[in-house]
This record gives sequence, C-alpha cells and structure tokens, in this order.
Amino acid sequence: MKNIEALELMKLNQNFENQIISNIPANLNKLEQGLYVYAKLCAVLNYDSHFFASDQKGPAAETHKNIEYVESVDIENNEVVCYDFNLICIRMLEKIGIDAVFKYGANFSDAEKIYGKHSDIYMLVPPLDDVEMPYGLKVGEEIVLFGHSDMTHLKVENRLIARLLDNRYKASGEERLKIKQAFDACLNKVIDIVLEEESIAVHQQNEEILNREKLNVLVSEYSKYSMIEQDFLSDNDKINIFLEQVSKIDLGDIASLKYAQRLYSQIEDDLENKEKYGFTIIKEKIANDVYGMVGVISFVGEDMNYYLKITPPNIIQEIKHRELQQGFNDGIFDYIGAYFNANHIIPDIKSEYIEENCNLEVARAKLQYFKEYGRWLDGEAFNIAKRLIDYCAYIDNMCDKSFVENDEIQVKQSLGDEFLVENELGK
Amino acid sequence: MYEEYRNRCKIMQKTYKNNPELYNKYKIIEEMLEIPNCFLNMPISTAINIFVDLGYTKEDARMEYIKVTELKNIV
Repeated sequence: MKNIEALELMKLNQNFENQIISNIPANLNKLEQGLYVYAKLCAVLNYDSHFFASDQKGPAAETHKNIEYVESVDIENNEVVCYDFNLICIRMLEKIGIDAVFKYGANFSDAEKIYGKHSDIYMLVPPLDDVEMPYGLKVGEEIVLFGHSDMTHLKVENRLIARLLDNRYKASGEERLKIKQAFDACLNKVIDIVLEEESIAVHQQNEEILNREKLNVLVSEYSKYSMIEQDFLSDNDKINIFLEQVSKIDLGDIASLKYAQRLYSQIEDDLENKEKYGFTIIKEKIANDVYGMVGVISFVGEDMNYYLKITPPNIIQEIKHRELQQGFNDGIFDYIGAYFNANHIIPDIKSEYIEENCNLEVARAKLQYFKEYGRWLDGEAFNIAKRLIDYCAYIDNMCDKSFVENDEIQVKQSLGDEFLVENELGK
Repeated sequence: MYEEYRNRCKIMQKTYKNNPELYNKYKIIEEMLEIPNCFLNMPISTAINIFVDLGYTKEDARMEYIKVTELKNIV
C-alpha cells in the first residue's frame, strides 16, 4: 500500500507542469483556466491500454500503483490511468488556485481510496467577477471531471463529457438549460483552444448535431439526382478504403482503435453484405498478466473466411481463423468486459467469454440480484444494464423470439427510474 | 479545405445552368460542402459519388475521400 506521506509530498514532473500551466492563454478567466488545464491534460495524456486490457491486474497495474510513476508522467511518458490523471489534474488545478476534490471525498491522505479505485473528481467553480461568471453558476459549484474517458472522447469525438453536477440545481427545466448552456459555452471555448493547439480536429458538438440532421436531408435529396443506384464501389473497395484510412491513424492506443471503430461504423451501413463483416475490439496477451488492445476485422462468408488484426495505432496484419480460434482457446485473445458489445461478436469464433456472458440464465440471475438488492452485482449500473439488453438482443437470434422479448421488457422495466437517475449522475 | 471542391461545384453549376436537374444536384452538393466534416458523416458511396460528380476519376475520388477523412484534415 502507498506511503501516505509520499502521497502528500508527491510532486509532478516540473517540466510537464510548466508546459501545461505556462501555456494557459492569458485571456481566460479563472474557471476557463481550470477547464483548460483539464482539457489540455485530456489531449496530451492517454489512458494506459495495457492496464485496461489486463483488467487492472499484473505488471501494468503495479506500474500505476507506484507513486513515483505519477512524478515521471510527461508529454512523452503519457500513459496514465484514472487515479494518475486525477492526482495530476488536482495538483495542477491547486497550482493555479482552483480547488478540486476526489469524488469519493478522499483527500491526499486517503491513499487507499485514491489508489485501486475508479474515481472522478469535482472541480469547484472559483470566485469570478460578475461579468465572468457564466449565467446561474455559483462559487463552489461542483463540476464533474471524467478524465478516464475524456482522454479518449476529446481525441475521437472532439468533446468532453465533463459537466456541472446539475442534479444539485433546484432550478426549473428552462433555468437549468440556460445554466447548462452557459457552462457549455465555457467548456467549448477551451476545447476549441486545446484542439487547435494540438492540431486535433475542431468542431462544436451542438453545431455538429444540427449539421448532421441537415446533412441527412441533403444526402437523401442528392440520392435522387446521383448515380448512387449504380454504386460502383464493391464491399471490397469500401473495406479497402477503410483499411487505408486505418493505416494513417496515429493516436494513443485506445483512441486509435475507437477512431477506427468510428470509421468502420461509417462504412458498415453501406456494405451490401454487412453480415459478412465485423469490427471488434479485444485484448491480446503480450506477456504473463499483460494484455494489449487490438481490433479485429472479420471477413466471414461463403466465399471468404479470414480476419485482420489492427495493432494500434495502425499496424494491420492478417490472422487465420485457426490462429485466432487457437488464441481464444489458449487465453491469448479474449473480449474486454467494459468494451463488450453483443452486436460486435467475432463471427465464427467460439469463446468462453461469450458462453459465460451471453447466457440468458446469467442475465436473469443478475437481474434478480438487482431486483432484490436494488443495485447491480458489480455496481456498474450503466454497463451491466446495457450488456443485459445486449444479451437479450443476442440471444434473440439464438432462440425463440417471444420467449426472449419478455426478458428484454423485464430488463428495461427494472431499469426504470433508478437506472436513469444513476446514469444521469454519470456512474 | 473544401475550397477546391467548391470551385469545381461552381464550374459544374455554370456548365449545367440550362439543365435544371443537374443544376439542382450541384446546388445540393454546394450545400453539403458548407457543412464541416460532411464527408466523414455520410455513407462512403455517397461521398465517392460526389467526388466523381465533381469531375474526379474513380481512383482519384477514392484518394480524395481518404484525404478528407483523415483525422488531421477534419475541420
């Protein structure tokens, strides 16, 4: 376990700290400065894919349990996990005079709470001039920072899910919306600055949603005038174009795979025989208890049966069915719980994970536990709920539909308000 | 970054000003080009077709698509 004194004395890499803090644009108010530090850390740090894929066990986990690791983090040595990120972020915010605390109320002397426990942080709105204070915000109001997922969100989706802990507002719906919009304006301002500094794509999320709706209408109009009906791109061409795009991706491990997944989703609906193809993120054993994350593109049909493995950021290799299946049998490859999606199961490959998890009885047992104890077995309400629905959808294809429909309805009903409230809180 | 495509689109509109159907098609393309990241957010077939409509060969259309959907080129 950590030496408490060491935690309290923990210092960041001085050069790294200076690089971030001295880079804060002069025209930002105190709140924006804090958000800038957070966004900048999300841009320059990456979540350690080995830690993630190894289920937080083994050497990858040991690395991050060492307090000295945090002191070595900088632009080059930039792989962190949630509590590394939080420690760095809180220390940097402190440095510029902004208070931030661990979500579970831990401070630097609560080493056990900080290490080995997934956590987010609350940044407190600092005192600002009336003009600077976004509409409706109050000094000391808590802003939830989700560094562990925002490191990927910023790079792939160009947004942050950090937000006001808005369930604390007593304001009406309209009032809440105005407060949220005022805060989002601040957040978007710093996101744009950071994305531009880091030469990552820049766009406004809200604008993008409106634009997508407009684009859908235009695409539909265009199809009336174009030669789309005589689509000259075969599925093979589309996959090849996708692979060429993948070969140019150069982000952190997780962000690279997530971006590849996004690109794949763009061609997926457009494939004539989409049931023959698939894109799945799994883990691959690198050494004892050490796993990395890889993507697998499947080509499975009457006329083809092979797979391509993407090792992030952009190495693409063919892998034979026999080799992949053997890897699953030997524990070299496996699904990653937090990334598992029943719609993205690798076709024609058997695995213990699927047999254990895509099982109606297991889903029912978990559901029963939820009903009796009011919480999910492993406390991950959102993921479990999502997976349960996925299981039902998956099993739907495996057995009698009406039999499964009842279960799916049951799952959705049991989620009800409790699920929505938990999800709203970002758990 | 879409300047080249906009220019091509304008030329096509001029060329087809007496053909309402084709003129309208290029009017729609022009509107699409005003939307940031439009190529990343539409089906790949549509995107390639647009490039072909803008006068690129099939192979060049493919190259243009890869170019505009590269992360660093997303605006």
